[in-house]
Amino acid sequence: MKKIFFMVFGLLLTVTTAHAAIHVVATLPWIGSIVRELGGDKVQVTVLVKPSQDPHIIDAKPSFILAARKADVFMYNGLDLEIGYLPLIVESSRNAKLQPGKPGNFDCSRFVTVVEKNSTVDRSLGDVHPLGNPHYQYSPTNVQRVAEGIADRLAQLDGTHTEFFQLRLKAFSENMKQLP
Amino acid sequence: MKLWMYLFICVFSVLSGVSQSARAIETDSAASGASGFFGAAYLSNPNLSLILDTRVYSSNLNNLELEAKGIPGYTTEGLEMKKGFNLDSAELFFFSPVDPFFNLYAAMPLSLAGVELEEAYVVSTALPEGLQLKLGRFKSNITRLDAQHPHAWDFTDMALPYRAFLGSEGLGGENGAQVTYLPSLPVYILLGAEILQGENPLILGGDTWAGPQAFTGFIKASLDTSDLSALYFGPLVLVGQTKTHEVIPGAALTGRSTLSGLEAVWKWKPCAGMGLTWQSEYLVLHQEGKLADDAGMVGDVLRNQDGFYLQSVCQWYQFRVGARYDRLALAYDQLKINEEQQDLGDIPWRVSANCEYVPDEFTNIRLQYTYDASARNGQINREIILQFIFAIGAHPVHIF
Repeated sequence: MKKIFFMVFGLLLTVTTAHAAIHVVATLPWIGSIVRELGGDKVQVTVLVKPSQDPHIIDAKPSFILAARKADVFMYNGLDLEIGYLPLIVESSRNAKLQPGKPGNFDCSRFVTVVEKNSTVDRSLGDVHPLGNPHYQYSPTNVQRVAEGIADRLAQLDGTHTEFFQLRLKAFSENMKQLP
Repeated sequence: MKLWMYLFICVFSVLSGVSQSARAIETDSAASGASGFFGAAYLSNPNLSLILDTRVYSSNLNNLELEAKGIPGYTTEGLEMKKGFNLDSAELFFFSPVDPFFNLYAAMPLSLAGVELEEAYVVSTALPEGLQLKLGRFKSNITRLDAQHPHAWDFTDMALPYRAFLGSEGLGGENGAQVTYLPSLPVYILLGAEILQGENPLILGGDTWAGPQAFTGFIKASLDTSDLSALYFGPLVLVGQTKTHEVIPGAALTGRSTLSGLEAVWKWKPCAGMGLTWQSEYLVLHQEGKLADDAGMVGDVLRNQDGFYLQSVCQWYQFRVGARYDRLALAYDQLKINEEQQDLGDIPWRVSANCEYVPDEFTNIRLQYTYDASARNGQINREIILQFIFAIGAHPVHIF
């Protein structure tokens, strides 16, 4: 009986260590695809919002909260795009690693130049984005900057593969330069 | 002193610039302090919001009849609404991180009766292993409608089983503590337990005993039924000491109550503007105790009663339509005084339909019709409610 227990325990341990990749939860598909490009097999990525869904209005489904519970890093668009679900997911995840200010809380908008920031904003203008246009990923320059930020953060979380992430970033940047 | 600080800032800026030069460059969006994480530019001030909930009420009954309209055998609490214009409340919300370890939330409905501190609690953010602590005064998370604020309900009023067992505002704000645990499993299963002071005047009732008198336990599970839909469900239990004057007219009921139940919600959002929600809860009360009137002991009381509601809301862009059926005495309708079953009349039930116009996240205009046969004596309340909800400021995210 004891032997079986230790065998099962050992197997579980093996399974756990075999998947020692960084668990990344990305709110949006474009963030997830960059992380996959840069992280390769060193990351395990979960994307919350489907490409067919509107990222402005999504419910904080319990499955999102569960994904965040298991995450090492939570990467989001920022500029209040996910304001309708992001704070609830992060708080309800009960995951100290993802709280604001921690390495596991990664706001992609911190690496871009925000445009269309209105000097005066109130809701008489409608449901506008008060911090500027959050759809900055349509600029290749912004995507490049965010990718550099992501590569740095992955290296910070898994220092043993810094070189790997930098090489992948270099390849990614070369591909970006090929864009017309 | 100022020069010293200036030099320090200069040196610090240069150093941080050097350390950043080898790393990805954070831009002015970070430097501007526009974190936006909790919906505000700076976290030095709490986020504030005010929700105005105002209603126009019409009924075939007069105000006195509405005020006296309890549910015999369940509650003597009448309807609060008056015919004509009603200002339910202007609800003030505060929330903000306290520090890296706690977030604080407070909700204060302002009404003509004064200010009520409905909720004021902290939620931990830094406990390990999926644990979370909630401490202060809060609305219990055992049941779905109870955990929501009235402006988040899909209908203007509480479902009938809640009104019958917990009161028109549900269990309401209770002083206490809550611990929840979210294990890292393939499916979402949240385990929770609460210790509450037990002030609810219908099922608990005052600080008659020494300490906290109510304990709850709940499990919430969830499955994604597809990429665009999810099921959320779970059982709940509340046990507590009871001292209430609101069940049997003119008499105090003292004893012990166990309220258990089950909730289930299914939401489907095929695209941005469309959605369908099915929601149902079942509650069953077991209560044993003594009944005493002003003259002295009356006898022993035994209650085994239940109730449920089923509602569905369909969204079509800026419009929503909903229907709800709620009913008591589904499987249990036992109210015994000195082992004698009381005949209280017809089975209480209601049916409601509503339509809403929701031009944006901050305005909600709702028209609701209810056919209410909960009086048990054949009296029917046909009510029409026109409700306006307006929200300003930064408001906490609503639960799924």
